[in-house]
Amino acid sequence: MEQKYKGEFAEFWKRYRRNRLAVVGLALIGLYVILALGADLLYSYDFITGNQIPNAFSGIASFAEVEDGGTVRRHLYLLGADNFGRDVAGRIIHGARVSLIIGFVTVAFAVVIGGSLGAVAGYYGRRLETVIMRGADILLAIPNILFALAIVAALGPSFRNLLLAIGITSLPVYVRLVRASVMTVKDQEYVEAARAQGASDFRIILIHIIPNCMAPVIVQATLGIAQSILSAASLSFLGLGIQPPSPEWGNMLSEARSYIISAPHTLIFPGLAIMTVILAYNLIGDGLRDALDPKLKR
Amino acid sequence: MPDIQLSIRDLRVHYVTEEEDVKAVNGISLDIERGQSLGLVGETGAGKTTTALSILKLLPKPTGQIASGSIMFKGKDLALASEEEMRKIRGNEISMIFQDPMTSLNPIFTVGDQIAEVIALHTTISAQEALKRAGDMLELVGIPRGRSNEFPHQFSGGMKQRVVIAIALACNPSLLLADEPTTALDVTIQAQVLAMIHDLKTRMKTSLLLISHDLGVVAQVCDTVAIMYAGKIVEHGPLAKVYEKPLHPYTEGLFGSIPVLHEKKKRLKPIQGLMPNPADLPGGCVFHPRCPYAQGPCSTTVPRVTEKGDRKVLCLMYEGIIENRMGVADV
Amino acid sequence: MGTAELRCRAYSHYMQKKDSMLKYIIRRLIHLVPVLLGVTLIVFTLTYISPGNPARMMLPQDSTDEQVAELEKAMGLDEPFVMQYFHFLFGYDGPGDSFDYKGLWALDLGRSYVSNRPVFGTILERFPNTMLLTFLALVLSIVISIPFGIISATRQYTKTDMAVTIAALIGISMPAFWLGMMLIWVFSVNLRWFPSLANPANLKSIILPALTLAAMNTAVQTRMTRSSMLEVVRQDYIRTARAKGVDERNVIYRHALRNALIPVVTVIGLQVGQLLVGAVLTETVFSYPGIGTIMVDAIQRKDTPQILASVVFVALVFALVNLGVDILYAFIDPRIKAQYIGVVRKKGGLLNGAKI
Repeated sequence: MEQKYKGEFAEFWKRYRRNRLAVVGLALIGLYVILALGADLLYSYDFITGNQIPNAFSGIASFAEVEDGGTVRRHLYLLGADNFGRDVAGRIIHGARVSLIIGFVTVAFAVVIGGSLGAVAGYYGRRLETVIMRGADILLAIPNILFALAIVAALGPSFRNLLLAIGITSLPVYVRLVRASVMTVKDQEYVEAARAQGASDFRIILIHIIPNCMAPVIVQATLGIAQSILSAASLSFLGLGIQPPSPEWGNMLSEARSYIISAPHTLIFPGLAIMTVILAYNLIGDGLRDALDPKLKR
Repeated sequence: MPDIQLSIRDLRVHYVTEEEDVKAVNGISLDIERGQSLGLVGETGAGKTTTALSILKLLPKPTGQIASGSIMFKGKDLALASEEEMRKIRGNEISMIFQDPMTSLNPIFTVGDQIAEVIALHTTISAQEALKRAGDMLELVGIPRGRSNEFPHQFSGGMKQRVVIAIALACNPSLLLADEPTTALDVTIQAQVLAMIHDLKTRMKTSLLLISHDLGVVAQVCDTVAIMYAGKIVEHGPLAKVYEKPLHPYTEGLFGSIPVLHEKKKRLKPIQGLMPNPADLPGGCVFHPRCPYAQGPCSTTVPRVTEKGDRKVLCLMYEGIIENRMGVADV
Repeated sequence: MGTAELRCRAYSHYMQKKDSMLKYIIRRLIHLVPVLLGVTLIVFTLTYISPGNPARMMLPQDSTDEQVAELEKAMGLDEPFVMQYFHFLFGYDGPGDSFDYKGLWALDLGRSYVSNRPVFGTILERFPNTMLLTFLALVLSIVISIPFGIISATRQYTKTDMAVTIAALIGISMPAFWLGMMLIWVFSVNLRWFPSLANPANLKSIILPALTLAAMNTAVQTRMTRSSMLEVVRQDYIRTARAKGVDERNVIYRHALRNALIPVVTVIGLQVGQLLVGAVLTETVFSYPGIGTIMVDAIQRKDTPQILASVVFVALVFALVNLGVDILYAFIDPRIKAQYIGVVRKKGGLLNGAKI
């Protein structure tokens, strides 16, 4: 059994690897994950959120005296400093942690809740399906970012509300996706066989149906993470997400906006960070789609 | 002196991809006389369609390549012809009918437009005149001309194939390539379409290369037959003779796998094994792994063409290299 | 079969189609009603549960609880949720006149806490600006994406194709607000070609925001055109065209392109609504006076009626635009629509066939 899974994974990897850009995407995300995990080792949180006013707008790769944890030391501002003299590179790396968490948590939330609703709707049909799908239609009728904006505006800007807003707005896609998959799978012979053996509905959905409609969900979830990170950055840019001095790419851009003439580096790098992460997830999503597409299997 | 319309000599076609080099056609030679029809028979993947596509130089780009050989048509070697020259030949002097009529017509143009297009391309007549001629063609294939303003999705499969045939014959070509023209159709419609191709071909004195995996279809229309296996023509000769007494073990195998009504046979005899992977052909005779008569030299010696009167065969048995166990030593 | 009979059948076929089109529109309209009600309910609920008390916010800091309660009563905020939602939809007639409004159906949700102007007055005044920006972006995205998609597809695997593909990937990944700021930095700050602030009176000043807004759609449409084109070029009927002796140019532009554009047009339609929403962020970056800036200003000033009205308004326009695009699409080419349905059915049939 284990052998079989190994073989399947090897086969999948062989197909995934063919798409070179997808491998680049994976490497980029790997790099960001390592940086995010090691963020505290590279720059302490207090240091990158504390002001170093004399060093404001230090240029790229410049050295300056900084106060860090009560001591004064020479510090290399790799990507320069912002308007409060905070290290831009450090804030980007700590921001990566925030963005990756937002992406993962919101999508996990949407996949689990949305997927369950979709599975229930697709499996049971009838009135339950009507109610769930009408709900999904309504959520889909409000554009994502607008809906998230309304939620945060109403509940007040906080990390929790941001996660909630983005999580809820990502939900309906998975409801539809899983429902559609379940509907095509549920009448297959092997499901009928399981039913004939007296398996419970829960068991049938969980063991027999869900694994067989994972491929489109995995692809959508990868693209969904990119979407969530973008939404979070957009909301923070509008002042509705994570508030400064907590480092987040969107709020860094929001602050840097006023210094577009004097300190463009504070504007360029956080934006590049957002772009590369989203690009990486899009590349992975494309690669997964090709690798998981049964039509291309041969 | 026979009037040779098309003469293929030692044609080799390869599909070159990053991973492998697929040898689809491996040195075939064919002649088609004016007004004559040749049936090209073989299993899927034998290289029949590739042969037809290389005559029109429509091999999928950039993988399909004519590696060597010549395709002489009206004194010109098509293998060396430019794209410009080919364009004037396609649809005009050589036409092709494809396998699946459901997908062979462009969904956004009316059938009349699609027939008129080929006429307009190869003549100097006005668009109006071309449309009128398109209507004539429709009637010729048994569709009322009033339907020329309809779109392909309004036609059934058999009707679509008639439209495809109308397009192919619109410019009165001297050679028609028909690639499994009836395979995708219902049996009853198959017979109609086949009869129509035969009738029109005779009337217009068109030469025909009919590609099929179905010996019955070929028997209805063709004068000569060529049996293709793994990119090679293993047997070639007049239809009646080949059907009566196959020379090549593969041909024999093909007939052995067809049910015959008036003979009492216990069981059909399918050919053992599968067609070899064209990217990795066996040495010696390509058929030897499946051949019931195979002997030692078959796996090492590549057979050459042996002429037996008006028939040709590609088997070591006729070269005197191995013992002939088929019992058809003389024809 | 006689010609008369044929004609008769064709006519009834035509009538059936016309009839089903009307039915289609009516069905879509009926379907829209619960969706719109749901949208308004969600937006209203959000405001209702929002922690800030509008009455207290409108009063001076040192007001007493009694004063707040009195104002709440005057504004109808002491009524139960359902009643308040009803007011939201169909109007409110309070004890005084100062807080009355006619409700969403009449596009009247009262006055802004900040400017004291009717909230929809401001919105309707600025909406044409947003439409102008959206329209420009739409035109830009179509004009750029389709040619590049074709070039990319017809030169698959060449350097040109690689360049277009990578540019499109970057376009999809770039946050619009950042792209906008980068364009300002390059073209306004450094090159001084365009102003950094945009306003509808100066068409030149809208070029950068329109480009910004168009970027994402352009990228999506380019990818779509490319893949659709590659798909179509593989079809049998393209081989038929080549076998007829059609030259490569006409194979691409006459036979392939029109087929390839069918799904692209669908995507463009779907994206009109997205553009409208994308305008919110773009407008903010360029301080362009549209709905987006109203919304963001209102959020920053906690101007609840203004936020509520802008969100509901954009959501409604979004829904109506999508409906309009769908209907328009069906009208423009019912033949293609029928064909689409045919394809879907055929696919379903294939699946069923595989099961048996």
